Amino acid sequence: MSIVAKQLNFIYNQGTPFEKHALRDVNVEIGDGEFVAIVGHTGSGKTTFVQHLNALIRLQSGSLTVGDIDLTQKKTDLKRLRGMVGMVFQYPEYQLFANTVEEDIAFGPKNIGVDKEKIETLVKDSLELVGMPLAVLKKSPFDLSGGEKRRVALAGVLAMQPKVLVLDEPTAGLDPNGKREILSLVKKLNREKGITVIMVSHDMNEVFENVDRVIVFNQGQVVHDLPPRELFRKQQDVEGMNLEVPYVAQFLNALESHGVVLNQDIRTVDEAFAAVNALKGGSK
Amino acid sequence: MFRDITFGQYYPSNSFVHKMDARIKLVLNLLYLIGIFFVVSFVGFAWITLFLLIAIFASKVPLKNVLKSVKGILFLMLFMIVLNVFFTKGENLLVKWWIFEIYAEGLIFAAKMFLRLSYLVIGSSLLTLTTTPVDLTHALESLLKPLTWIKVPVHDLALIMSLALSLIPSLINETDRIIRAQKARGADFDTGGLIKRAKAFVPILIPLLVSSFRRAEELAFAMNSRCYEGSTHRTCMRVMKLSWRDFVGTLVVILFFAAVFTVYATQDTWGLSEGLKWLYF
Amino acid sequence: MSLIKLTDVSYSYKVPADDDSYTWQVGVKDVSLEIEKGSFVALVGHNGCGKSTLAKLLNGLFIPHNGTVEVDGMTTDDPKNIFKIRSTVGMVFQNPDNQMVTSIVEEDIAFGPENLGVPQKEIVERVKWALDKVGMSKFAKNTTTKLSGGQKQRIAIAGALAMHPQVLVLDESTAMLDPQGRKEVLEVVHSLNKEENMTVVLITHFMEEVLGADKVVVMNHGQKVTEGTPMEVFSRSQLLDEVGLKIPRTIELARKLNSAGWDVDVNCTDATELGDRVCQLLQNN
Repeated sequence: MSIVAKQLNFIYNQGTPFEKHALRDVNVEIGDGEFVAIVGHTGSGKTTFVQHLNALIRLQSGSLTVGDIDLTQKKTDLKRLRGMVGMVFQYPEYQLFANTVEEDIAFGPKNIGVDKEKIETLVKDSLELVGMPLAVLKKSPFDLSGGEKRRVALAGVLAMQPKVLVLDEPTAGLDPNGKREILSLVKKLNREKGITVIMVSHDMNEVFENVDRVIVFNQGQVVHDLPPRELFRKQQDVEGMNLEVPYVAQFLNALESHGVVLNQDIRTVDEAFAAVNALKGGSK
Repeated sequence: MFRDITFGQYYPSNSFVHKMDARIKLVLNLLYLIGIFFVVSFVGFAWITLFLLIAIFASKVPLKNVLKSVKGILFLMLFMIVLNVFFTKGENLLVKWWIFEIYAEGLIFAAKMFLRLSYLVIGSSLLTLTTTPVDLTHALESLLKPLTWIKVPVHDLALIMSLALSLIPSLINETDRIIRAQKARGADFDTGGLIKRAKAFVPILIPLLVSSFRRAEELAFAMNSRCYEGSTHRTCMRVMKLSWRDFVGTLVVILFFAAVFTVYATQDTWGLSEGLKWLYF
Repeated sequence: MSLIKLTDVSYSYKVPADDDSYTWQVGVKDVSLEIEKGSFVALVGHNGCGKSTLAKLLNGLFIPHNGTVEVDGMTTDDPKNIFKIRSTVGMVFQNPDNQMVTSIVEEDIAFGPENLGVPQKEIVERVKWALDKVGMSKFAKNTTTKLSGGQKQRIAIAGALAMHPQVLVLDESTAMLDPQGRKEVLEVVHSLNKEENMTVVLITHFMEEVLGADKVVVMNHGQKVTEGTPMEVFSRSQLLDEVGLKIPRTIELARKLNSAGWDVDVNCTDATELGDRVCQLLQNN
């Protein structure tokens, strides 16, 4: 399921004093099974871009294809598209509405016309996938804790069996444990189920540790499209766009500025520690 | 989908009308709204048009923005016009077709109705275009203050209004977000019969309700933390002062409508033939 | 002298069960804590650990079921003290959209002093001062809707400041902000702490934010688990792990290197500095 966007432009409130050019000549290609982060400060156009992917925002100019669906076409099969591209919004727990967890998770698949018996298994599978016990199926989603609600909301999107998962700041507002759980779940979906993941994030440390590729938006344009290590090597450039440089990347950059280049793919504190310690030149 | 509601929304400027005291504007607007009903002839409407043009000019609000307000009730007006044209019976029959009869009186009545309604809406939107909702709330509170003597909780009502006003933008955003989220889950709000469509709104209304309660609770904590306990011992930062503009503005409006009322009161003594009367003030 | 003193404070929530009965859920349990005047205290713990409940006990929004909360010598369970206490302990909450009472910046800030019956002229001065303190003076007449999250929270801080409090409690006020907004809010509270000698209680689960604090209090299951300077707390990494918190990555790396025999500062908070030091050690050898 690949995504190809060419020359996307989008202007809000065109022709009014509130006109805002949100996307400028955006060209992005995302391949099957990739784990991509989209970053950029508030108002950089990243949210506008991802909402194009399942036609929540309709194309103004340029072209966009998602799998075999061409969004330039006037008549897009929205149901099929939205089943293919699952979108998890910021604070998704605020979209829960049904009497029971089961009903809420079934909402998506029902809408896109999955048949009844299949929905039942899908609901159970996706609940299991997000690591929740089946016992909560008959519970009211409003009786769950914040972190559990978020996982149920995520299950509601997964039950539509998307090939592409778009997540808008999936860890916002969660504590460190909650963050870790959600991220490892997303990683699992990507690695084991082969789902293409596009994650919008403000947390550069999180981005650095998890994704294969980072697309940076600034003032509506794609200014960088690189693997994380290469992106954060451009420390000044990144800081200039009001983005943080991950701590581990800062550490590695400092080493490289002294000519110490570690060749392994280092993302986490543990990996950095192991690699440095292996140099063994350290004075005791 | 909700973002394009701009009808009657405050238009920032530094004009004569903007600088007038909100209380004066509110009272004058009331006078205008009453005055409109005393205008009975097309010549009178021409006068009112002149008056409105002067007021709009003094407010520096583009005519387009003012007229937008009429667009908002266009459907309602069309309905009224159709009703009046077809169901007013008079003496001068113009067209007769099948069961429909159109009389000159019906047309004239409908035209006046149209003008009256439009001017009503234009006048009040001129008030909201030149006065912030917050100023209006303060003006209402100040004007209604005498009612506290008969135990009307004027201050609390004003506070509720002001809270509502400050929450509306975030509620609109929230609604917009929930709609998008449910659409992303394949929800369909645009097709199907009435019942199906009404049902489709449940997934929007419930999250909205839940979040409104959460907001209300948090807001209550925030207000308590800032020592709110109703109107007792309360002072107010805002001082409302009258300026020369208010006197000039009041004078203009009063002179204008004094003329309207005088003409209305004396219309029986004009001695014109009945057929021509509609031409005059 | 401590400005706020909690002695064996407990508070529980009533939770309705399926039948008409209800159960009690622990919010805070047997917490004793002292907050010194002019200090910067960070209160950390995972979601649901009781830190927000504790915040609401500090200004009498909740009254303890057991034990006492004393603010500047006044106990919160005496209704006579309540407004004095709430004007002494200014509070800023999590969601910037849910604490504005009006849509004009300066009028929102005036809400507190208006409630306290402060004379009109003085309110104007206080509002001006408070806006200046949070660096938002030029937004005085603006509407609140067009502001960013960080700016809204600064307005909320100004709203608390206008009551002339001695303590500022930030109840997860940075949780919903983007990194830029978080930075703005932290800069403001740190400068208030230094320049105005404002006592600050910062409630958060971002461990990077506790670095500038004088004291860190760690909560878990409604109880105080440990307290100390940030570095003291960071050194108890196993305990932090148990309560679901994570020390800042740079310090984690520095500690790991140090315990493997590298001569690096365990309290190093700057990753670049740490990298430089490692290279220095490599070259020396």
